[in-house]
Amino acid sequence: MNKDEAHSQVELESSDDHRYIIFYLGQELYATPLTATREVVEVLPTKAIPNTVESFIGVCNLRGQIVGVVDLRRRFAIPENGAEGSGVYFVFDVNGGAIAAQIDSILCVDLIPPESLDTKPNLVTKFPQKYIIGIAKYRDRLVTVVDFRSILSHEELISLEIQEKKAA
Amino acid sequence: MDLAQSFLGIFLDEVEDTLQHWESDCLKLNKGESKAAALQSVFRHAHNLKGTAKSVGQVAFAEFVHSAEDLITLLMNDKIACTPDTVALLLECQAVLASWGAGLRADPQHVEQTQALAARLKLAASAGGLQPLQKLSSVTKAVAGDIFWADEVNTQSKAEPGSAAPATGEQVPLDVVKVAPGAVPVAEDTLRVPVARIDALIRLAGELAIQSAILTNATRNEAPMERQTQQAAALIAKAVSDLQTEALNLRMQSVGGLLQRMERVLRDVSRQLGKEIAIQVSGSEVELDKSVLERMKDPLVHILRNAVDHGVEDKETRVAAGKAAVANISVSAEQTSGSVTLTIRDDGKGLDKEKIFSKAVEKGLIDPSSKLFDADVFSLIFLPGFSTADRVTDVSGRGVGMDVVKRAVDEIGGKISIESSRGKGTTFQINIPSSLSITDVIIVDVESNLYAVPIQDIEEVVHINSLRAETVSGSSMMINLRGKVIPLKKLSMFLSNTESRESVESDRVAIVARSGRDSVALEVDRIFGQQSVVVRKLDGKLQKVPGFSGGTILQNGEPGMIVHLPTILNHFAQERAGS
Repeated sequence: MNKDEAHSQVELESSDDHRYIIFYLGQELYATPLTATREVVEVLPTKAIPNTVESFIGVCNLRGQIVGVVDLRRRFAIPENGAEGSGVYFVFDVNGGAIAAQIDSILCVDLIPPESLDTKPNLVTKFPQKYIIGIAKYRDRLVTVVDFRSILSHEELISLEIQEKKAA
Repeated sequence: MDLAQSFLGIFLDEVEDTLQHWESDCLKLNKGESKAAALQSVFRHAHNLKGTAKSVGQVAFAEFVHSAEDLITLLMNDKIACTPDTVALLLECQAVLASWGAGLRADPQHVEQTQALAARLKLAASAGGLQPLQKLSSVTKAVAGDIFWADEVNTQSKAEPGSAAPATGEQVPLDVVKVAPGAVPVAEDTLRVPVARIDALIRLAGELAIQSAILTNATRNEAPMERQTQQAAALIAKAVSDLQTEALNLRMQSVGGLLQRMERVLRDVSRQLGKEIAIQVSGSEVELDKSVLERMKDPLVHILRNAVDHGVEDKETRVAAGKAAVANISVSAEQTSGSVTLTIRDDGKGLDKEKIFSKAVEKGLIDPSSKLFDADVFSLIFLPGFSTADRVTDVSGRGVGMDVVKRAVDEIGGKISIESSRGKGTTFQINIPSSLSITDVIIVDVESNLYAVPIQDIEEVVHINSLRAETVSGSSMMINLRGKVIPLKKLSMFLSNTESRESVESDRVAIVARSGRDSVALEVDRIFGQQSVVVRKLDGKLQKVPGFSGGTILQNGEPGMIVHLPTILNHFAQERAGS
């Protein structure tokens, strides 16, 4: 594929920065642009919030800020990898505040050069197509590059039941 | 325009006050008493005067004060000697400024002729050879935007003495004011600080308080530690809590300015409508959080306009009804613990119950067969789209307003109530929290999840076992609370995470909350007692989750949601209506 074209696609987040956080969700490897992530913290105690969707774990105390946490595995029906208790939060700044996403573990932060990123992959994933940045080859493995920040900023937290009641 | 004039009024009051101090300081200088302290005091007065003058747009005034300030700085730093001549010059400045102030009272555009004196000031200053205040003036200019006055910062106890001076970058002996014998305490010295800075301080103090609470909790529960360590932890907790209180106090402003504005509105409106009204204002010294104060401004003015327009009758009607020709309206603010009550009372014709009722029926807001208590009839006027004014006037009666008032009060967690009797008058009472950032809550356990419920929303806490709880018409539980039968709901029906389970505990408790005329008892699993929490605004998406007004960090460091009982009661009421 044409290199320039790849460039223009990745521009979503940052035009020059090709650094990504590469991490595990279940058994699969994913990557998300580093610059779109505010911080990475270890798993914090959470408190469940009623009337929210199942994939919304609850809120945590992130240095005095109350931040909601979404479990990405539950959200996208990714089988757990069995290593219970492990996990990391990605914290994203989305419009209107911070939101955290729980993933399994981080592999590394590394460059994924545009030439090894296929931005028009022909595949069906669990994620909405518009948030897929591409598929990359990384150390002989395939990594799905997803714009998780955008996914989270469009995430609906309130349970369907309540939403329907409101609409009614 | 009104506002600008009232600001100018405040400024001129300050000018008079400050110049008095200026004079007494100069007299002290003349006598050679505590020279450094007196100079520093003059400097501070000049500096503040300059700031205020700029903030009300009196640029020429500020410039003149600035040139005097230059001279004082040189004197302070011993760049020029403090001779009787220079003191006389400072006194001359004082006299000119006093006459300038008097001129401004008569004509807001007044500018005093000061060229000659300013030239002499420059000449005297040039003996010192420097223009030391360049930096300071740029600092003053930089402090623009959202600024308010930290009222009555007592220089001796709270702020650093001479806090204005370090901005010059000059070496100023900081503790002179304290040490110097006979130095007059500068009680009303103020400092202009951007709100954002104070908010940052409050945020930090809040975070510190949370961490300190966690620490205190740990010292109680964990392995015994050294006495000294324990004491230190206790002292830190105390200092942090004081720090937080002081930080929050920085945002407090007296309601005086608001009351003054209301007085002004009343004068204008009553003149416009040709009504003669005497106003009594009390409680100007009561303090409210700046943001609360700002949000209450429009609602209060609206109530007042209504009182003048609809509440108070015209002279002829009053005399015919055997009342005094001059109507009375009183506006008062009263501080109670943690909250402030604002009262607007008129001795007009009172609210017309029948008219309100029929209007509400006419607008389809209530059912014609409903039987309502007086208070409930009155509160109909808070419904959106309600207006009983026969004619639409400039002053009020556009059909918007009272619902906006109610909403503004609701938003800050306040309560509004109306009392009115026919022919005697109407009283509006608004009870609002004096500070937005800290609230007293009861911690409750619902299905092993802790929630904070603001005390202001709770009427009482009851033990269900001691009351007769009965099932009425199949499903709904009712309890008999001192002869009043109220519904009993499980709070877990709204705040549920898991499948609801039967409560088998022997000690069942409920919080009683009121919505409108109805009280509802909400059963919880446990009550943990009361505490003060720092309210955190919830971020974007969390805001939309129903039933919560905010979040907080509990003493154990866990996040806790602050329950908004009105939403939940509303939910139950709708359920009832739906079934």
